[in-house]
Amino acid sequence: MSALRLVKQEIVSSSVSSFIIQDCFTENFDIYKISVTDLMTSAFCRLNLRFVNSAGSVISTGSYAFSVAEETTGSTADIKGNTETAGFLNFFGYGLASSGTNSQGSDSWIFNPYQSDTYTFGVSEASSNGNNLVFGKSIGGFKVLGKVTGIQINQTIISGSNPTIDSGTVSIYGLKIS
Amino acid sequence: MKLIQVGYSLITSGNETQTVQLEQVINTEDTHILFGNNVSVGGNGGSLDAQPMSDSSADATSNIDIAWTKCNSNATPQQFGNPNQNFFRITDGQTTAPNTVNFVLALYGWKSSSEYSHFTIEATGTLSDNTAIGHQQGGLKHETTSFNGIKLATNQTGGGGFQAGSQFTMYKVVS
Repeated sequence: MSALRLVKQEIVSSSVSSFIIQDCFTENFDIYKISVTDLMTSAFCRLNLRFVNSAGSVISTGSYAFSVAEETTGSTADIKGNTETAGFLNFFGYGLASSGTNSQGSDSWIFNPYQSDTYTFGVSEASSNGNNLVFGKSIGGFKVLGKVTGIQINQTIISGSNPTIDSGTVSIYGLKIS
Repeated sequence: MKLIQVGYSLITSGNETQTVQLEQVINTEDTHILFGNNVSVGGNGGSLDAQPMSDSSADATSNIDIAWTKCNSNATPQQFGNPNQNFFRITDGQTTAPNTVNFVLALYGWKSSSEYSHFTIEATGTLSDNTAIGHQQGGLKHETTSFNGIKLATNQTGGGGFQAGSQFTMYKVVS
């Protein structure tokens, strides 16, 4: 029997600016794998991660530290980091203006979200294609002691107007350490 | 992807140590994944290094090549390449909890006696000033020895090394 279990799966089927997957982190698991496939957006944007507390509120304080190293088939990789910001920027790569073929895929691990005496950490690999392929590796620390129980995937605009997330699949797996 | 647990080490209070050895846990040629979870040390400035093991012996031959990116929330990521190392570094800058280090270390072909051993690392953690850092690394041990374990060591002696709550868990990946 596998130690890795599917916890939740969210299929995006209507246009939203962001969405929450609540109660995906519980006392049953310690480490979580998040696989995201084909998040399609209406405009060019970053796909970001924020955590959600047990009250269902998105935590948008400047308690996230992250770094992204990117490689691209284009001319310039957009490399960034921030020690006090309101989310893990580009944790899931980029959303491209939906053309039927532009898409993304990412594979991430989240450590200890439900432990109240530890920070929550994440690592991610994401690949996105538009005019160019962009591959990003992300790391992050959420520097608040306490439980987080869910995630929000949101977007920040790069170009175009009012991006929405129109489709895609998010699968979250749990791994118990013992 | 299915994960089958094959090894585990939890540091408990009063048993802090600078070295953890997961011995004879790799018994097939499947890919294996070692998770480091909630790993802390007793003072600032620790490194976390690893060496392959054959039974109870760590291999310290200087034939490990590594290529890695150091992600840092306070600086532009840096890229490095280091041939002929006698260990590989999972992270530096280790410190006290709650600034822990967490990592996913995938091991490819370690049990094989006819192919070189490869590995990849995805690590994340925070420093004492709350900067997030993480080594993203690929590596190769260019010898065909069959390895069945791994040695993890910190150079940080404060509090005895790895602190209580630090966990190291090895899984076999099966279809």
